[in-house]
Amino acid sequence: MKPEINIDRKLYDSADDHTPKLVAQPGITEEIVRMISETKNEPEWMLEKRLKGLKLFFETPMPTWGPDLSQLDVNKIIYFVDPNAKETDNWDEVPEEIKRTFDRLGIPEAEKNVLAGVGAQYDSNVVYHNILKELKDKGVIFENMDVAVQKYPELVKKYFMTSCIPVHDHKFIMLHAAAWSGGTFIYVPKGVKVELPLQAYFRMNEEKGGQFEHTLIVVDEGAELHYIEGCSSPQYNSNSLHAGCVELHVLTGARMRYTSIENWSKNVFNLNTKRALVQRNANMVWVNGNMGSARTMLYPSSVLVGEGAHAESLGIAFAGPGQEQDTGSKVVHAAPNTTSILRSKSISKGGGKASYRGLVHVAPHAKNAKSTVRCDALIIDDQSSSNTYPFMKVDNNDMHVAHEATVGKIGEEELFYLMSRGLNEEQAMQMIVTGFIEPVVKALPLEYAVELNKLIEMEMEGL
Amino acid sequence: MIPMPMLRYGLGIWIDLSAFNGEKVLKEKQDAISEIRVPKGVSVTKLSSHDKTFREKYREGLLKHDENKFTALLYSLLEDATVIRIPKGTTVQTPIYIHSKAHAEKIIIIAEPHTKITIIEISDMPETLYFKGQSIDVYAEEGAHVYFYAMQDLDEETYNFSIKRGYVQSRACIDWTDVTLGSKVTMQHTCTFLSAPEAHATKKSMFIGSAAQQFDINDEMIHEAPQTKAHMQSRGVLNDRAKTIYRGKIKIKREAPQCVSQQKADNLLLTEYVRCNAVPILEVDNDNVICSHGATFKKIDDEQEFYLNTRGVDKEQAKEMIVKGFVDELINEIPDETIKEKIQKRIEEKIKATEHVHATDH
Repeated sequence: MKPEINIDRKLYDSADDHTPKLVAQPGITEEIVRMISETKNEPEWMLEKRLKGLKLFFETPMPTWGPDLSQLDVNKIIYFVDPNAKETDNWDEVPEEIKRTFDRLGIPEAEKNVLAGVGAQYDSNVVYHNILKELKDKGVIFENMDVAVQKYPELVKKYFMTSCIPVHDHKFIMLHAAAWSGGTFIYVPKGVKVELPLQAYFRMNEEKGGQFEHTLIVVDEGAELHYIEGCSSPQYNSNSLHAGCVELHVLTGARMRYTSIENWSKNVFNLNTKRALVQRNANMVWVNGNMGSARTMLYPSSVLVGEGAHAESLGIAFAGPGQEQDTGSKVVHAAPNTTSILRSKSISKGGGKASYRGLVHVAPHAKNAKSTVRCDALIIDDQSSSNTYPFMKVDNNDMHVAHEATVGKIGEEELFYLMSRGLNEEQAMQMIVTGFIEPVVKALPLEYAVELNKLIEMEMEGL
Repeated sequence: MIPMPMLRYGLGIWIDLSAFNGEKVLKEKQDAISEIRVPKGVSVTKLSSHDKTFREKYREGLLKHDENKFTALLYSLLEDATVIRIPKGTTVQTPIYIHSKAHAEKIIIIAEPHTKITIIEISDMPETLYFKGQSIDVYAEEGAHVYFYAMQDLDEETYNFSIKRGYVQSRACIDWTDVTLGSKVTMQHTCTFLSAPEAHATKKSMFIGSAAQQFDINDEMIHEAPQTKAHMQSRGVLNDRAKTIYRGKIKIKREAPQCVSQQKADNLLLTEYVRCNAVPILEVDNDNVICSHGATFKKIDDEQEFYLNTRGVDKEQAKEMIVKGFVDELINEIPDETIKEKIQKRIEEKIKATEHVHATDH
């Protein structure tokens, strides 16, 4: 039974007719940074942070490892686009074109059905935000990052680009620090369990645009949260840049699950940074799907700083023609009795290149740490490539670390078996690929699982 | 200015070469030459004595002298390369012995079609060499089978820099076994090119690091032709404050379908002060392959130790038995009993617990 859902690549790829209120000049300069900060009426410390990021960005060279970034011209990117809309919590007030886009992406329906809150980011600003009253009463904060800076300055100042991802982390984080706009801020108070997932959807609409949303989530002691993020952008002729930043603070005994499906159009450079600081006995789960974009460099990391912390990561990457997916998971065991399980699947097709680049680091005092890594890569045709670069750095002997990876094609016998049962070759291949990614799909909420399956199916068409 | 070799692999994985002094090498230059013992029928000549086309074919390999300080040093110390030739169709039971004594050497081994030969290379100079550079190229021509066993036990002040390359032709095979015990810093790179259909290669690496030794072991298999097969296996034991980096790379080119390639690295960590790194790499450019790799890190299993204790074996002996069992598979094929015994003895010495071990950040 094929699920009845109308997702078409066209839906993501067509740009919307929407006139933004303010479009900055391409390139990044101090004026632009000051302008962004001023537009948002930011406190002094935030402007300082931005300017520090900008200064470091100019001083730092481009990374020389990993995928080819020569097609990315950071001086041609527009760093700030203010859509002609103010934030609202009433869907009816959102401008018609923006609404149509999100309607097509199924955002309000999703809210009605299963999700507890929705934030949707359009270019640089968040246009729609809502949260169930029940959660609000419990003290859960789900806000646009810009608003959070004004409304919760203490919380934001404490956690924003400090201990988790500092401004000087790497070149694109520096740029992010200078140009960040919008994103999500979530605070779950002690002991509060958010049973329904919270969701945000990011869409980049402006040509040569850059999206630099900042997600900061603090799950306080003993609390629980599941957060879902989806991303898309229209197809333009020139390249766009996405350099987001996701900082998660999972405090003692808390549980956090972060699910994201990134389906940027195929000329976006997706240089995203995601990291979680996991405290004592806390639990962090990453589920990542990377379908779109020209180049992806994304390595969700978990830093296990508290004793007994646990991290899991499930990733899937699909590299089609002209795409290079450089993804992988990192985990740093910085405390005793910490555990991690990393699992990655990749598919490359039509000349695509999928790479797994991961790290397992066991620090000297992280006694009794345990980590297993498993990577599987499927190559569909002889034009495609798959690379695996796992780094393992073990600095004490009371631990157990194992890594395993395989690369292969679709077995002829499997294919023959399915075809002898009446499927044609394309259907048989699709079925095998669906089976291959099943462990990841199973970890997704239903509607995302359906979307992912559908996307893979579309990618596999016309073999 | 020629740079020092970059022994940095990102993410905090690196070898410390700051104490290395290049001038010391040149001052202490000696003219020791390696002893090479060959069975009847095998010829040993100097490269310079051959004709120009021959020299062109085998000269230099892929080494660039200005790549880094170590390659430059190797070049500056080199006078001539040694060529060992095994004539077509020869099968020799007696191994070729290379007793490596020189500061720098370049040896070219040519196994002509349908030969079968065993080579044993030993570097165990009792005196301090400070720097040892080595480049060995092995050409296994059609249908040739080369077994290459190397044992390195240099003194613990020496910087050891070794590059081995294998070129494997159709239906030929090179089986490498490396035992790394000595030196202060070892950088050992073994790269095998499977350049014709049905070429085959295996690589076994065994290393035991103790005191403050640093090893960088890099094994590579490059599949350039269809239906080539390779297998890499490494077993590392780390004691005291030893630091090792094991890199194993499988590269399968687009024009090489139907390849089978595997790599496995296991590490046994004896103290909490060791630093053990592994970077196994797969680069696969076509779909018709069977390819996998794996790496594990563990300490001595408490249960195994306890079992041996209950059988009256004390802790130190139990450790010795477990370590020997761990590496046995890799060394038991060495066809020379004296060398095997020597390795066993050195294992015992090297894994003994030392009292003054201090944790330092290195």
